[in-house]
Amino acid sequence: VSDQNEFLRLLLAAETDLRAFVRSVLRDSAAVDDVFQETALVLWQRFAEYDPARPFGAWARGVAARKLLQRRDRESRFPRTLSPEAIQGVCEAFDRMEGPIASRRQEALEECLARLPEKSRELIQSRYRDERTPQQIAHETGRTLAAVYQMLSRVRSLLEDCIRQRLKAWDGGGT
Amino acid sequence: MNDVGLLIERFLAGVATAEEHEQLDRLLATDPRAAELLARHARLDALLRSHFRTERRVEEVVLAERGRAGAKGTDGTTPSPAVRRVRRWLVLAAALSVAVAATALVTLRWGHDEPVAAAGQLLSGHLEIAGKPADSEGMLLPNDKPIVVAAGAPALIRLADGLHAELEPGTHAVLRGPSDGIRQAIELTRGGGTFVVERAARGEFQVRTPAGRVTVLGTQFSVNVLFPPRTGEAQMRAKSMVLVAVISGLVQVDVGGVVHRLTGGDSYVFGEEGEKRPMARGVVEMIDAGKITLAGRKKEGQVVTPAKTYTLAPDAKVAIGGQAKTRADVHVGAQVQLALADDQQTVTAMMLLAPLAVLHAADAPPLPTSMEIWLQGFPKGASNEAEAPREAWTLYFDDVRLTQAIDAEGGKSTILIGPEAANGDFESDGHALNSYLVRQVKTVEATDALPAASGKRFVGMVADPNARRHFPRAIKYLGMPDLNRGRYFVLTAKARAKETEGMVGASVSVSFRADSREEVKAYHGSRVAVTPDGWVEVRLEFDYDRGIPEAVGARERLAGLNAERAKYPPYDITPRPDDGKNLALSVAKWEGRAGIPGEPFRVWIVGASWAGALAGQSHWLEKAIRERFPNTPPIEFKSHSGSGCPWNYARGWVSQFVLADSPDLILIYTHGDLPMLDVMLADIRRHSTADVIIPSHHLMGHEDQDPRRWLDWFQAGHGFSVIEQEKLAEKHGVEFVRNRHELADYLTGIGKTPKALLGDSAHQNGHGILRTWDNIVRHIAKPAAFSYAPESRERRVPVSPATETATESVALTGGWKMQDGVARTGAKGERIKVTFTGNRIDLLGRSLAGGGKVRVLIDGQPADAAPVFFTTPIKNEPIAFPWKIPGPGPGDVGPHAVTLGENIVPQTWTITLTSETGDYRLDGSETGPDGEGNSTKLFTSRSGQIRIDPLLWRYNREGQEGDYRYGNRTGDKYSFAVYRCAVGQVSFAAAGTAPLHQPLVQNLPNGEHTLEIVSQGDGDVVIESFYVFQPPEK
Repeated sequence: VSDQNEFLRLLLAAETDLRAFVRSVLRDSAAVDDVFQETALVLWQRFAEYDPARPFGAWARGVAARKLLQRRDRESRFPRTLSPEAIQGVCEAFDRMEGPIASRRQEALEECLARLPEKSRELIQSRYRDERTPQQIAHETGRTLAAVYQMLSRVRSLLEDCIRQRLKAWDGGGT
Repeated sequence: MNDVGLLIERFLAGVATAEEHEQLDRLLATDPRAAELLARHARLDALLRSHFRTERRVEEVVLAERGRAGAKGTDGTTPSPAVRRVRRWLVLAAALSVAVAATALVTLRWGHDEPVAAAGQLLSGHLEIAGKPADSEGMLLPNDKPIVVAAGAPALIRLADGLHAELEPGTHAVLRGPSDGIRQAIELTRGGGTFVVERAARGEFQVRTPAGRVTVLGTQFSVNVLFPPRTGEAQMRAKSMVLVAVISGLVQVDVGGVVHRLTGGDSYVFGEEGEKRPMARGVVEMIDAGKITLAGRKKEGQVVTPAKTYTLAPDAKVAIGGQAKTRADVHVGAQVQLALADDQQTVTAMMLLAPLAVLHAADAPPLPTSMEIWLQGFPKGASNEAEAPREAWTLYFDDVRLTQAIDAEGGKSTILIGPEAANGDFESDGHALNSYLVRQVKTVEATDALPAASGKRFVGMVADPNARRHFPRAIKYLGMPDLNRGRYFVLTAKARAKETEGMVGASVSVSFRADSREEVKAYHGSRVAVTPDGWVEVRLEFDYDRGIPEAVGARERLAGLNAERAKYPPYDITPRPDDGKNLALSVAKWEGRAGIPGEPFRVWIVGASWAGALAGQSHWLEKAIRERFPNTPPIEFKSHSGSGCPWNYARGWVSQFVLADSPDLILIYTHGDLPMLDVMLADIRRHSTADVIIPSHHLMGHEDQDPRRWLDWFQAGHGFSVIEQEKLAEKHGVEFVRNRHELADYLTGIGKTPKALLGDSAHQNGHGILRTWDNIVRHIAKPAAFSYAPESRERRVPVSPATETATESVALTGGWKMQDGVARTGAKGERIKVTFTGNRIDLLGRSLAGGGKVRVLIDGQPADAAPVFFTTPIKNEPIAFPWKIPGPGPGDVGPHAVTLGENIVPQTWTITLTSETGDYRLDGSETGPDGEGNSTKLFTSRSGQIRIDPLLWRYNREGQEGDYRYGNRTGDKYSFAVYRCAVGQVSFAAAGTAPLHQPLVQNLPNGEHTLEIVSQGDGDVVIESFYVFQPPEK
């Protein structure tokens, strides 16, 4: 049971980043879900072999990358994905970014969303809550597609900065 | 936004053109900044998706599965991709979830066609299966074979899907497999039992009796078959009855075509024609020739059921386990069920109930459903150290063969792996063999330079050079073989490395795993020979129940241990004159001068994960004990450790359940606050006679570059002084191991730093574990003088002749026959009175055919009413981890111990978190709701039975006022049981003469007590001595 507890704890902590990684190299959402689930199963099946000295997230991404390439090589109809070299590059980038667990970043995000200007929050809600594509948003708001991309990019930057500051404040005891 | 940013936006939005896709691909492969931009972008994207819940998270799936009432099987059609996805979630949920096993296990079998070979597993007690004795705890039980529970003790059985059955002595039963929509059933033709169905889904489990069927709808209940009293009501005459008592939940009873539904608290007797009679259930407060009084019940201090007196019908039947007994067998304090006549006042039958062995059920291992075979080879120069990565190398395996002896065919073997592997032509190009940390698996053609072990082809594995601390291995997954066919297995394999690299060894392991993947049993073997062609031969022989035969195992183990030691610099483990001075009782037990014959020597290892690392290699301790004390009885190792768990909380485990297990030696290996170590040691010394070893903590990663600290007595890297630690050990007579300083001296001697002994920043590697054990085993010795006399803690008190010492005296009254060092009687009412000093007393005697019983009284009252109790480990369900508190986050969030107060009623207690800020409520299975508390505050339950100390609640809260973070969340549950550790009666009955050891009363206040044994006159009783335990501190 202690193994299960530990695995669940590690998987939950790494889940958001692991999904982010798979989604960043594979755009088909059903395939993302498939690869994520298969990865989680493999991780569990091999958990006894997991080396706790290594970050769980890095191990999980390695397994996910292999699983993804395996399916890409075996299934002719597997959705388009990045090349092995590009996947490796992204994988390494994620490794370099290991940081606070997702639950803490999630908490920070909640605060930061609340602090966003109304228009920006509406844009983010439209994109992520209502699952509108940038094209749909452009069409519905009468903006150009490029403007929507610009706005989304700016709001993301705001959120990233805000999250970073919140985490820093929590860790440093400031506000 | 620059071009790369736009590309990434378009890519993540799924609208990038093929050209843009390729452009981004090239950038990501070559420019780390672009890859980082994408990673950052994707991370936030995922965070936002998670926030707005557009993806179903693991936690939701697991929690959702916990709430599902049942699972459906497949219909044989090919599932759609969406269905497959859902099923994979369910499989994952099943694998992860303990609490949900009912749904989950069934679900898991969608992808697992091989049936579980066994119907159940014997956890304790003695059975006959189809007329043959079966008393091996842990053995698997078949379907469709008659099972008879031996007289004298109940049998605790675990069936599939989380069902526990405690069958009463004398019960006749048959386990049945799936039929008519029922997954599993027990047929009872005689006797009865208590059933706890925590996990079975609705309607999946059934108890069948001659009178009717009881179908589980999720509950705890007891069922007994009883033949009616001779003067019962006419319609019930000569027909059997079934007694059903529902402790909690819901069951359905089908008798004589009538369906009854019973809920918690209902107790009825049913006749074969569907008639239903009320039944009273409770604890006997008084019984005489014509009346019986059941004690009343209280909840929250209020009387909810007053004591009630019933009239005993002159010929009221009394039964235990379906066997006719007399009224004299019903004693004050016993749990009984009373069948009542229509007047609700006259008792027509009485049934004695056996207490459910909660502790055994909680610790029961799961049923194995699969096997894993591991093959490993170790190349020359290989190191297990983190700082020494190695090059890739090629490993070859051949001649892998696993056989199972078939008992019915005179031990002739059937092949489980092979024959393709066995004849050297490895199966299907390596695909049938899974691998770990391997870059490539391939089939290799034999050549003159590289001959096969046999045949022409073998498997080759190219190890991943990036795999640092673990060695690559080949893994073979197999379904669970039918253990009813035979339990003896032999695994052989040959391994070699590429000629230029060579090998130092190889090993094989067989692991039996449950559906949850939890390891049920595992056996390991290592190199036994090298063939002339240079193949390293490995071999493993074992019996599933009995383990590796001594003749096979000892040789291989010794060779393995010697090979492991040879990898490291020489180290002196010769005992010094004072070593072992605080281990007088252990040494006496190892030399056969103390202890109870037939009992193992129990070692408990408690602490943080680094204690767990030691426990994993406890064979070093066993080896030292056996080499220096060859007459040592079997050694039993148990351990409990948690992530970074300091003394502050580990002390809770010790008081909650370790001391209840009667340890002979406790090894504590962690750090913490010294006052908490003091509290823990005082607790051990007041309640236990165990010896204690404490090694100081090894050097950690953060001390690696600070040599001044290594030999500094004033710190151990954790803010306390090693001098003070040693003083505390001395104060409590603990064997202190100066591990930290001995390791520092060693490292200085070999010119290395602490990292040479570490696998990561905190935990020892193989080298560090061995050296710490080396430091410990120097103390496994007989010194010139001990610090105490073993007799001051444990004493055997003979009855023939009667003992008379300063601490104990024995007086026999009546016609006891004193002969051959024992006292024997068959008469009724003969007494032995023992005055003793200590906190526990056991009986040593002989059981025999036609043996009778004795009643046990302690300090003038029946022992089974004595206020002595133990508690079981605190289980957490669902899985709890600190959800807002940063840090390593152990699985042992929550209370590590409770303290027992007054007016204790044995029962199961559940703590349920009711808020996100540490509020909880406490419920007892008998007492009911017993108050509300908070994990950060001292709590005493309303009835006064349970106290919970916030200092023993790990990760209850962190942070400052106004910004608190709590480790628990609403719905977290913790449960434990309180059980009485005394018996009111001892039976000497058995099939033949055998030594009898029975703990009588434990956990008394450490002082003077009087024990009385009173013969019942229903057979011979033979008593040799008593065994007294006197902890050294009061």
